[in-house]
Amino acid sequence: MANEKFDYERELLRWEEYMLKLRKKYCSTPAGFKNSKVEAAAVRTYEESCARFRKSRSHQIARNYTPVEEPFAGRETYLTLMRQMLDSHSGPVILYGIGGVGKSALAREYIRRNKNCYDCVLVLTYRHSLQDVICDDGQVPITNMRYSCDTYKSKISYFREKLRVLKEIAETGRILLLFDDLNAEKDKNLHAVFSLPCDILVTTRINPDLWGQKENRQIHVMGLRDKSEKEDFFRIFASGNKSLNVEQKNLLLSCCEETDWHPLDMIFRIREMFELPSVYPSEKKYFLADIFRRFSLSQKEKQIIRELCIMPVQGIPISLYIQLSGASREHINRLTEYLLIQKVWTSEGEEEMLSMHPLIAEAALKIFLPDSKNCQKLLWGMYDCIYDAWLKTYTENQRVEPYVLALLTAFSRPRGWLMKPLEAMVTFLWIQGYSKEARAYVLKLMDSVEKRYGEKHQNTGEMALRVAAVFFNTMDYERANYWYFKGYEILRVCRRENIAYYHIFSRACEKLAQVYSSGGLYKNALMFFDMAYENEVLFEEASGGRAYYAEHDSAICKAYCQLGKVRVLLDMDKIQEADRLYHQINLEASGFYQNDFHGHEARSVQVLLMVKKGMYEEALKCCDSLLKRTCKYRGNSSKETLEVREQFADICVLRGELANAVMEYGQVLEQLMEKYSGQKEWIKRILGKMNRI
Amino acid sequence: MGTKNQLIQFVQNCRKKETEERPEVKWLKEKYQRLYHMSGHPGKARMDAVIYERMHGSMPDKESDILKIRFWRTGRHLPVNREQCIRFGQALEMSDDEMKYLIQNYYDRSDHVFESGKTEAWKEALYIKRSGYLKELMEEYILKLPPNRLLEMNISPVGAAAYLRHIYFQDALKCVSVYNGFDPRHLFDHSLSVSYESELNRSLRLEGEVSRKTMIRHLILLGMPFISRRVLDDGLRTLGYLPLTEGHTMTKGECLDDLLLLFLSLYEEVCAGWEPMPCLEWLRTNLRVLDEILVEAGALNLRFMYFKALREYSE
Repeated sequence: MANEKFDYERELLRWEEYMLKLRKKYCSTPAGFKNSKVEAAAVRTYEESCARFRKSRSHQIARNYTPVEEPFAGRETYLTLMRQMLDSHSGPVILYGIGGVGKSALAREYIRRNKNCYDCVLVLTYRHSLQDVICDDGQVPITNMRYSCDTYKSKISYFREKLRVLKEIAETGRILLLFDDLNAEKDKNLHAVFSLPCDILVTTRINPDLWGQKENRQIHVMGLRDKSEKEDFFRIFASGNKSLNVEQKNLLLSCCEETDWHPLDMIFRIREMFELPSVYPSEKKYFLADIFRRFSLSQKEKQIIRELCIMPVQGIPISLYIQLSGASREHINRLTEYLLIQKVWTSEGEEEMLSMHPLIAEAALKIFLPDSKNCQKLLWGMYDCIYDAWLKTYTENQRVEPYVLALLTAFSRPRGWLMKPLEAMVTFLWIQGYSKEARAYVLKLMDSVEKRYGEKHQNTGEMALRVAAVFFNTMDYERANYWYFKGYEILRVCRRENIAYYHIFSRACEKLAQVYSSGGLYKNALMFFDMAYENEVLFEEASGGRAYYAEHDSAICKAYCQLGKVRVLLDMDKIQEADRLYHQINLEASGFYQNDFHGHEARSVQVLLMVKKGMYEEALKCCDSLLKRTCKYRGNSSKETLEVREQFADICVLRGELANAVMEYGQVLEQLMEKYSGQKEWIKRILGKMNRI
Repeated sequence: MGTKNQLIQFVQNCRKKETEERPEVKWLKEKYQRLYHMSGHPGKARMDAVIYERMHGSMPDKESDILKIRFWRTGRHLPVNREQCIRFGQALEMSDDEMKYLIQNYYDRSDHVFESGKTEAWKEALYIKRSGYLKELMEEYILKLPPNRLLEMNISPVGAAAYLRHIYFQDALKCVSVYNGFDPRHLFDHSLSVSYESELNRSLRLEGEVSRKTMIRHLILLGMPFISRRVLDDGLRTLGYLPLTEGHTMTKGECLDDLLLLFLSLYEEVCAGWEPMPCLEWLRTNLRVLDEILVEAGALNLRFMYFKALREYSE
């Protein structure tokens, strides 16, 4: 009997039936039926046995879901679509969307409205696998079926048998199975379960494309759309007697807009506003934590979420994000499948953006706690992207602007050891005209560098120069000078930490030379330009010519020192000496011949030289070209542009083109009044020049 | 009176009759006398010689050749085989009915014997009918096995027919006195017995001579508990044997039929209206008791449920 299953009860019935036949056949024998009455009684007994057997072997689903009444608003379009899809009996219907958007509520509402169409409804919560769900006799109770390893040997056998029985039951009645929260990427029994001849409804937080399901069986559930359903929502979920005042309504509306009318978030906000008892058993915090608990995320995927949650709400271009973070497309795609991040093409169709639903971003901030330490790779990635911001056009830099701002906003408490990337971002800010933001952040950064390294440290001195640069380029010259001197002093007395010291000290000397030059202390200026040159030479010898970080290499720095000296000599009216020195400068090294912002200083000095030599026409041409280039790289209202425009106007005056001069002075004045109203000296100077015409 | 006592009484009554002359022998004598008269009273020796000549187609060479004729007509012996018996009957100028009586009653055998490879066309049809009857009986026998018994023997309902000889042996064992002292460890020893298997198969396939006693045993074992005089008679008739007949004796004068009839009437009296399984149990128990009584009485020829293969277990 090795391979045959002996069904004792069935065999017993068969034997009893046969014995009835024999008793009738051999009715003349003692064991046969004595009379028809005895026969009838025996037949009755047998039939009762049969009925008992059938009952013991018959299978029915022993539970039927009874929906409770619960508030529900809108979603009529989805409900109609679900009904149509399920009535067509051509496969499971899948409701997918982010957590809390109302998929399960929608499914329950469908059941409430259509319960009478079904002989039985089961609501099943997905756990580890579909096999577990089906084999769970608590969730899928079927009469005369119960798992025991004696009977079924293994859960696999029980699963197959139960599926067979479910199929039989479903063929005799209309059954609805709701698989709630089925968030598995794959399940080996998906096809088998989805092939059952029942109506199947699935709610999931992942993209059903992963399962190879037909698109026309998928419904992407999103936030409320219709005006009427939004109003319904407020009416139903706010207390009946209380109504929102205008201020509350406006606040609520703006919050709802931010989260794309996410129902659960709206409920939390309404509850907070009215202090209503909680509609849902979980607090918002639990809900937020739960968003990620449903998925098995790798460390790299968590890092992507951590980084993206601090990005602006409109998202970041995928190409840029990959460039900054080094994240892989595979991990990004996986998170997209989980609906934790979204990929959206811009309206112009130029590039694909990565973004995150505000609710998920909020959850990510709380769960993954991004800070400058765990996002340092991103910060260094941004440094690599913007270290040469001053060489790029304003428009080019604008692409990265929101992300620099987002990073500095997210990491508002800078860490001193991240000085380099953060100060590069600060530099970027003032290049792009965010003077106020640049000043505020650079001081916080200075503070943290000082705390980390101490008051007399090479890094502290370098940072002081950066602070000075911010003030200088935002035309707060008093403060700039203060910080230049501070930086110089620190560097003069501090210990040399490494060979970069020479370069940094060279920069300090150069800046002090400029300060002295602008103050008319030309001798000091020349002395400091020489000191700057000498220290740069020391750095060049020690470093073998390589640049310090992403800064200029020594050839360029030396050229700048010489250009600075030329300026001073011109200011001292030592034109010939200036001209001689100018022509000694390695202009190629200074970037003079490059078609970017590199050669700005050299061209600017060239124009000055031409003016001093009386070559007004050439000077005007050069200055015009310089002005165009400066506008392109710095914008129309940057300090550099205004300086060049002023220079251009001065040349126009020297050439007698007074009308042009007035026009140019006028533009400078307009920008100064608008953007730099604090530059009183400069405004006064321009006014003076205009009045003299 | 208890069942056992009744059975003892039955056996005693039957044993008493064994001392009397067989009625079948009386009948044979009448047939001999008829021929004797028809032949003009030639004298018994001369008559025997004539019978011998009719049987063998030649005169006897010596006197001892006709001795057996005398033994036959006096009832001391029986013809050695069916062929002899038929020739004897033909020699006595018996009619068809008388020949039938000679074989069935006197010789206590089936009216036909089927030898493999030797059947004629009409015999083939008869064989199909009779073997079909036995086959149906065997199928009923297997289908009557209760599922708990199949489970106990670890036999699938579908393949149970292949185990018929084992099941038959076990059932037969329960109906004889040997069962009382039976060691279950030897239960499957019979499976190694070629003689048991071949004997059983031969008799159930109706190959060669199958004694009436053997066939009665088959009909009882295969038919239990749905047996009665009528059922056994139908079976015996179908298979070409004499139905159970009051007064019929076996070749050595044993009154098996009377014993069986008494037993069956007791069965019908006691178990009428019972469920099949209790009937079966009664039959097994009381057949065993009957067998014990027969052993005790020394009436070994009357042990209709006993067969050779069981002999090992009784020693």
